[in-house]
Amino acid sequence: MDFGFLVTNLRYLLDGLWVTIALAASSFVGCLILGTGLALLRLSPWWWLRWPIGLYIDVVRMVPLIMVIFWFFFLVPILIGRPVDAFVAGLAGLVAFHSTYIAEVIRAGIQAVPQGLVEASRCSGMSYRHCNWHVVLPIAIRYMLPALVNRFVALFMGTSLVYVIGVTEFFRAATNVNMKAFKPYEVYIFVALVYFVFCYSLSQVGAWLERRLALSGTR
Amino acid sequence: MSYQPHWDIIYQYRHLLLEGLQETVRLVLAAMPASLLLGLLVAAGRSFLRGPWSVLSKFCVAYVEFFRNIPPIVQFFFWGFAVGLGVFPAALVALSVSSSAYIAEIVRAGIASIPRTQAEAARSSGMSEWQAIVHVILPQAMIRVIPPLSIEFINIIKNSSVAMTIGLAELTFQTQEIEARSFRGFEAATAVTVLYVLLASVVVGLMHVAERLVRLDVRKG
Repeated sequence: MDFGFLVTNLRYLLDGLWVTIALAASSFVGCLILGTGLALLRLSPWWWLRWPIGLYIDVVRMVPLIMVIFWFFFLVPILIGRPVDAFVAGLAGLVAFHSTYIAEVIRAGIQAVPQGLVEASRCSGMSYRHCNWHVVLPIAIRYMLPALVNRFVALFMGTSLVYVIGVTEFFRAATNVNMKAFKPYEVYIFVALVYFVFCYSLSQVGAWLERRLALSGTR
Repeated sequence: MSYQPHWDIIYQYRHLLLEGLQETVRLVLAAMPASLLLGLLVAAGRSFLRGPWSVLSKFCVAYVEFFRNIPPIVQFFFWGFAVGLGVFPAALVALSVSSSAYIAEIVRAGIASIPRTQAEAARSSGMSEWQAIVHVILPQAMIRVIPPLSIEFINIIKNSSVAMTIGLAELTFQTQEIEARSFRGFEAATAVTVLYVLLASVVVGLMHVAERLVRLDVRKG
């Protein structure tokens, strides 16, 4: 085992890691926006809005992430009439895929708010908007936050799959280093450790939040 | 938008799609029992090992945390290009090991959800520790485990697509193949997406049947 060559390629690997982090962060923001929209539509009182959105969410969750990324890589050029940047296609694929999971987290969080609290606040004279802002949202966020952190971990690991359309993120950067140095054991163990450090510490944050935010007595 | 989709390429390349489907099904059917077995062992190790064996139970915790926090693609490359197993064995090992970590966690939660009193009642009515686990705790835990397990089985189908990156000619791989031969990636991707949804629906349906059967079985005693 000789990890010396990793030091000489450190700059290149760090650039890749930076792309991974940028991709994860920006697609998470996209997922939160799209996911909130999907969740609200799925909770809509009209069945003709609720059912198609529910079907869409369930179907997307049955398709592999690689397929969704390919979809955008092939579909977007058709729509806009010119080749699409791989980073953008990857970003779109990640958002389309993970927003369905995040929508379910948000929907579950909203539905977990005890109906009695909503009725009580409405009875005590709060407007619909006030009730949503001051009662539903703060409680729903407490339910959602740990699950959202776990979804971010999944998203972070998922960014490694944009490898297939040629984005030089951390994993692809590492395979490129391997092609030059041909030290597969060292490279893949190193890559695994880096992902592990990121994901494990994030999921520990999720677990800590879950203990910290656990609501007692509202159920 | 002036794009004319050519759906006939799906028929034209049907042999590629069928070969891919066959390979995906072969991989998934092998990985499901393998990951279930591994997951059960790790969960049992974590839940039931006591006394001098508890070192092993710590090892089981580490196993789950380690493999849950590494992207599947890294595991596929490790077994395929570092260890150098053949393409199919590498995909099978990577898929089984990464899924087993999730299955272990699901089963552990199932076992933990059975009230302590069940084990105590079994023990005080004269069952050995082993009998209590096999006849009282595990049967009840398995019913609760089936719904999350079907989600994990769908994840196995989805993650089997990562095998294309190490060169296994499964469904996703054939999408790229058709794109390379005909530049009709969009139509190919649509066809393959439909196939994945069908596969996942079959698994969901079978797990529903399994749940019903297990419930009936337990009620009869």
